[in-house]
Amino acid sequence: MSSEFAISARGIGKSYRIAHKRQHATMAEAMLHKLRHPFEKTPSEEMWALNDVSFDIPHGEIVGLLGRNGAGKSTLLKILSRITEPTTGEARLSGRIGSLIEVGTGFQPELTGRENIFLNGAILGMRRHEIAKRFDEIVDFSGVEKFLDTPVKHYSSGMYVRLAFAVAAHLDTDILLVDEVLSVGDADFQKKSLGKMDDVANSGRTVIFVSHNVAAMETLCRQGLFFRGGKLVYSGSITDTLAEYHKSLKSYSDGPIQPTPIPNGKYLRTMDVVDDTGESVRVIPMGTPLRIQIQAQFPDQIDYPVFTAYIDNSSGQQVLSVASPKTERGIPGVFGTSEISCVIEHLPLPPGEYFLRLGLIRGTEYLDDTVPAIMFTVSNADTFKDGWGARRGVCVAGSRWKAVSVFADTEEVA
Amino acid sequence: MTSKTASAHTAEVVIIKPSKGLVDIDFKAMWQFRDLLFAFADRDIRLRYRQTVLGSVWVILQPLLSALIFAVVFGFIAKMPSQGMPYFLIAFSGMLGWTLFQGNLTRVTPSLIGNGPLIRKVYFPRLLAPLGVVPSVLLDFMVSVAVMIVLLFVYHVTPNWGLVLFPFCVLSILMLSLGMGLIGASLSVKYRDIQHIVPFATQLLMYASPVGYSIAVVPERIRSYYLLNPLAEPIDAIRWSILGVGTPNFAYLAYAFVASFGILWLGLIVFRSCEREFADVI
Repeated sequence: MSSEFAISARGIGKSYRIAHKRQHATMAEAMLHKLRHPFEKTPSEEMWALNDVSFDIPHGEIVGLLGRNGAGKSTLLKILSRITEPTTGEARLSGRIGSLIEVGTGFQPELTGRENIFLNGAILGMRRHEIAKRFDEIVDFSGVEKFLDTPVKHYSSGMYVRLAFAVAAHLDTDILLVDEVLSVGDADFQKKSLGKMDDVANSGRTVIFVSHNVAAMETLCRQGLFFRGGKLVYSGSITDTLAEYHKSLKSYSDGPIQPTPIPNGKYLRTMDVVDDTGESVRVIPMGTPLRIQIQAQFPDQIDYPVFTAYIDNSSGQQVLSVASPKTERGIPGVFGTSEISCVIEHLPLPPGEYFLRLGLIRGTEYLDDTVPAIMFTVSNADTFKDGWGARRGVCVAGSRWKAVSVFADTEEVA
Repeated sequence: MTSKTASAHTAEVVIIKPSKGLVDIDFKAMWQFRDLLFAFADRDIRLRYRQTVLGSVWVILQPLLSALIFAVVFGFIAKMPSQGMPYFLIAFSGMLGWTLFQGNLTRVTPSLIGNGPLIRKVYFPRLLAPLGVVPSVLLDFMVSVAVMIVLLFVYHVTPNWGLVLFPFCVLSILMLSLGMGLIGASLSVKYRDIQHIVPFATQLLMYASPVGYSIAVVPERIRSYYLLNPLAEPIDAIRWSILGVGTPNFAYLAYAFVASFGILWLGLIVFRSCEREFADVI
């Protein structure tokens, strides 16, 4: 009976213990305390990242997981891909499982592209002969054939990501778990990988999909599961689930204007939209600067972190994204309690409601993200001094006009 | 549901639930991922020979140089007895077992932390990470054995029937080093100090083992304690099996074998009980 559903989960839960450490001023004091109370247990608290989640997914279904960061999507994906064990419950998966989680994991910089294809394929559970069979296809898709025998450390980041995605996307699996892979590469490659995901989706394989790219989810998925606080709160068609999701986002941004805490942020603590005096605001006059303030805490130094800011419109479509450069022009390093600010000089968005999300990336690794946290409004204003304010279109811009008129004397021409 | 999709999905069912028991190793998954073991080994071997200037020469040079130092310190300066055998051979044959032990221990221990990003992001049978190190260590060992054979020709030494003991000793050392490595690897995930302790402990263990000298020079009254070290007798027995120097104590050899097996078993238990936390802690 196990083959009736591709995935069948019953009461899946995952708890983490969070230890509340006693604060000691010095290390000696801490050791002394340990000596005096050798058997004292550190008080700890149980935190359920995922709580009593049950669902069935039929074969060939494409399901999108929705929910804010920390809602349990990634934990569920980790459990289903066997990276971590559940604390309670049971899941039955029928068919071979493959996961496409953060492409490029396991790439060895010193090894050549060819060697990495085989290594990465093996890491993803493919047999050597299977990789050999798909080798040409993988190389073809990635478009790096000229550099196959070059160590991947000499690859551009684009090539690196393309090769990694190509290996993962050519896995022969019945169930595919996909986490945030479509945000990589240039626009062209993104289109290509979306197309590939579409192929995968149409080949009768079961796909579970997590992405910040809500628009891509809407086109790819047919069903949705919406998580909040570790619980599955809604399941249905992707359109209905997205509507439910957006409804919950709106209610979240109510309340007095102050920096918005990021309760589940690993490094990011609060985020805020401020005006030029540093005061929190949620209404931005059209075409004026958008100032973002981030408070973060880094226990370890992170070099060249890439902070990203995404803006979605009220229908969940991403309309803008900016990122700090991964070079000297960006942020060379962060450590300890940090305040990061970002200014988008002339926010080119027409009046309306928008959602600001943040992300933090190191290399190709997502360290942190805040799936929509701040809702702000762009108000109509005559910023461009043209007396028009909002016009039709999806973006706005200032403009300068000039005309050169030559009053030609008709007689001279003749 | 269409029958077309249903028929394709009858083969394999994976059940995910909280694990129980001490040593329930998922041999089925390990078999499915068997190519990964070779991929890991392949990676290790390629990386090591690619990054160094001297490349493969290092593998030969390292035990030779160490043996030379031992020969000078113990043979030439301390003038330890060698039963008429060139001291260099005494030292090099001791290095054989030691290279295997040390190579395995020092490379199995960091194998989990070294593969941290993988363990956090991808599923594969975790035991393959430490096991994937062993083939490259064995390759190094094979190179040392080849050098030993050359040395035997150079010094005109012919081994006798004692050679049958050789694989037995090798197996004993392999089990011991793998077991200790597994414990080290599991604990170092939670306690990073392990990485600093291991090199120190290995150095200590080297002097407590008959690497640069033979057991014969260990004073009689402490020898029974000395031989509690399950590494001692196998290393000396390797020397005996090749050079015929000394006399193997079969009782202690059997003890070493059983103890090594026990430590390997313990290593697997520790590894298993820590395994469920790897992805959450690393």
